[in-house]
Amino acid sequence: MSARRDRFITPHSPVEGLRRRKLAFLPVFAQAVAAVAPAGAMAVIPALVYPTVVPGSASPNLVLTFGAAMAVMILVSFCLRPMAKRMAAVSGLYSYTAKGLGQRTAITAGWSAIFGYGVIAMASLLAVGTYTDQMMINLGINLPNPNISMALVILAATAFACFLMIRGVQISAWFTLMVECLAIGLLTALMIAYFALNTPTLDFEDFFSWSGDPDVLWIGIVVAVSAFVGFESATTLGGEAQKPFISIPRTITWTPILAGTLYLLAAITQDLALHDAPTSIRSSSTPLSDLFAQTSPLLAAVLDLGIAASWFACAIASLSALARVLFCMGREGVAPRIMGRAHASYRTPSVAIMVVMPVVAAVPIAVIFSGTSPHQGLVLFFTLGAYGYLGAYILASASLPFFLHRIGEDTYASWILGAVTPLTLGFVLWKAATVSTDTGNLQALIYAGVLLASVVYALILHLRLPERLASVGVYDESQDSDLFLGRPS
Amino acid sequence: MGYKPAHSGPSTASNSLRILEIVARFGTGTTAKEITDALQMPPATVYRMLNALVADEYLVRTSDLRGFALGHAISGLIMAAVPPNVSTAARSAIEEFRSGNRFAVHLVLFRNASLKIADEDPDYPLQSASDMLRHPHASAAGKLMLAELGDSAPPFPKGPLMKLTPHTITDRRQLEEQFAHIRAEGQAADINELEQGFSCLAIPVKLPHGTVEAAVCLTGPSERFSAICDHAEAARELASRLAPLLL
Repeated sequence: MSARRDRFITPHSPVEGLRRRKLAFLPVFAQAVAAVAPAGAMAVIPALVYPTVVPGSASPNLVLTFGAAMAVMILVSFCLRPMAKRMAAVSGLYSYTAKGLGQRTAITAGWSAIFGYGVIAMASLLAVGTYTDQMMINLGINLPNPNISMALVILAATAFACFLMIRGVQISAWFTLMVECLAIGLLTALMIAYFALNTPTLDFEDFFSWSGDPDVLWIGIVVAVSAFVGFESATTLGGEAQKPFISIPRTITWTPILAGTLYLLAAITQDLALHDAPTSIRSSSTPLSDLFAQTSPLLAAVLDLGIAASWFACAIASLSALARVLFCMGREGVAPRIMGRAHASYRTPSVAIMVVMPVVAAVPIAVIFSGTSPHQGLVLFFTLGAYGYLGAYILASASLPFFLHRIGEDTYASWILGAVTPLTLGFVLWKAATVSTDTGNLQALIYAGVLLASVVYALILHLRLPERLASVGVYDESQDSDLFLGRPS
Repeated sequence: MGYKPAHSGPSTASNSLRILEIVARFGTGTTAKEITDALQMPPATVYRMLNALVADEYLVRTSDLRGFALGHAISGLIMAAVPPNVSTAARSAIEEFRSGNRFAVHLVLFRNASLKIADEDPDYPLQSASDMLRHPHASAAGKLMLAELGDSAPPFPKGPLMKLTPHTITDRRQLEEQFAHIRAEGQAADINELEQGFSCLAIPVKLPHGTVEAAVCLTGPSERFSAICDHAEAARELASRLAPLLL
C-alpha cells in the first residue's frame, strides 16, 4: 500500500454503522416517491391551493400553478444530479452545501432541511389522523370525540413508523412503496369512476387562463411545491444504496417528472370537480372525500384509506431522511454525538429516530387540541415545510458550481444552472413570503426565525468549536475494500 | 503519455478504457484535469465518462472527490487477463511430486470465482482445458472451487448447465449435495464428467488465513481412478507445502 493511496482513501467510511451498499434501486426510488406522497398530495394539495388562493380573488388556475411548481422542481433536480453522481451523501442537501458553499452555510441548509422534513412529517401525521377520522365518519362509525380519536391515530401511526424505521430501511422502503402504489392506483381509479358517474361540463379555456390576482399565484406555487418536496430525500441513502451513483441520480431525475404528471392530471380533474361544487365542500379539510361522499360514502371511505396510507408512507420517508441528516450531524459533532449512533444489529440511525419521533407526534396533536381546524393546520404545516425545503434547495442548488469548481470539474452549464435555479427559487420564496406576511400570516416569520437561529448557531460553532465545524460534510467515502486489490473490510 | 485521440472518432468504449489506463498509470489520486490533458478530450466528455465509470465501480473517487483510483470492479478484467505468477519454489515442489507418480499433476488457481491454470503438467497436457475453464461444474477443481465459494458468490450461471459427457452432473440439487460432501471430505473428484475416459482428483491448497485459493489436480484414465486416490495423501502434503509459496 503506497503512501499516496493511504493519503487519499480512508480504510473505513466515516459514516460506518449503516448497512453499506445493500439497497437495490426500487427501495431507493420508493424512498423518494414515498416522501413526495403523490397519492396523498394529489388528493390534498390541489384542494389546499384552492382556498389559499381564493380569498377575494377569482377562481385560481390549478394547472398553471402546478405546472410552474413542476418546472421549478425539475430545475432543482438538474442541480442536484451532478452532485449525486459524484458524492455518496448520507444527508443530501446538507452534505452538498457543505462541499459547495462551505460548512457554515451547510448548517443553515441542514437546519432548513431538518425543519422541512420535520414539518412535512407533522403534516403527514395530521393528514393520517384527519383522513382516518373521515374514513370512520364515511363508514358510519360515530366518533364521540374526533380530536381524541385523531390523536390516538397519530400516536399509533408514530409508533408503527418508528418500529419500521428502526427495523431497517429495506423493510420501511418496501412497505412505503407498496402502500404508495396501492394508493396511487386507488386514487386514479376512483377519479375515473367519479367522472364516469358525474359527467362535468368541460371548458378547456379555463385551464390555461389566469383570472386571479397574480400575487396569490406565488403562494399557490409554494403550496404546490410542497406537493413535490421530498423527491431529493433519496440523496440521504448514498451510503446504503447498492449503486448510489446510478440509483440516486436516476431517482431524483424521474420522481419530480412522474409526480408532476400525476398532479397535473389530478389538478385538471379537481379543477373540474370542485368548480361546480358547493362552497361547503370547497372549503372543507377533506374536499375530495366530501365530494365522493355525495355519490357513495363507501367509495369515499376507500379513498380516505388510500390517502391516509399515502401520508403515512410520507411520514416514514420524511422521518428517515430527517434521521439521517441528524445522524450525520451527530457523527460530525455539530449535533449531540449520541445522534450519530447506529443500531448495532439493524444498522439504522436508531437514536436519531427515537429522539425525533416524540416531537413530530406531539406538535400535530397540540395543534388539534389548540382548536385549530385540521385544514388550517395542514395549510400551516405544508407552507412552513415548503419554506424549509425551498431554503435548503436554494442553498444546495447554489452549491452546484462551487462544488464542481472545488473538485476541478465545473462547466459553463453548471454556473448557469447554479445561478438561475437559486434565483428562481429565491424569487418565488420571497414573493410568497411577502404576500403572506402582508395578509397577516406568520409562517414566513417562523421560518425566518429558524434561519436566524441556524446562522447564530453556525457562528457560535465557528467561534467556539471550529474543529467540529470543520468536520461538517462527512459522506460515505470510498474505502479500502472498494479499491482494486483493496483489503476486504 | 503521448496519447492522441484516434483519427476516426474514438468510441465511448475505447475512451473509457483509455481513461482506466491513465488512472492505472498515474496511480491513485489522478485528477480529471490530468486525464483531460493526457487524452486531449473535451472536459465535459471526460467528466461524463468518469461519472459512468464511477457509477459502475470501475473507478472510485478519492476522499477529496477530486482524484480517482481503480475500483474493485476492474479486478475481474485484470485478474483474468494477467497470467498467474507461480514462484520457482512452487514449481520445483510440483515437479518433484510429478517425478514420483505416473499421473498428470496440474496446479489450478481460483481467481474471482473462475479457474486459472497456473502450472500444467508438460508430459500430460490438459485435453479439455477450455471446457474446464468455461464449465466449472464438470471438473473436480471447478467443483472444489464452487463448494468453497458457498454462498459468497452465485455459483452457477443462469440457464441450464452444459452436459459435456453423459456423466456430467447438471442437476443443481445433486451438485449442492456433492458440494457439502466436498467440504466435509476436503477433496473433490470427477469421473468421466469432464471428458469421457478420464477422471480427476482435486486436493485444496488452503492458505494460512484459511481460504482455499488453488487446487492440486491428479488426472488419469478412469479405470485407474482408485490408483489415483492412493496418491491423495501425498498430494495433500504437496498442497500444504505449496500453500505458503502461493501467497
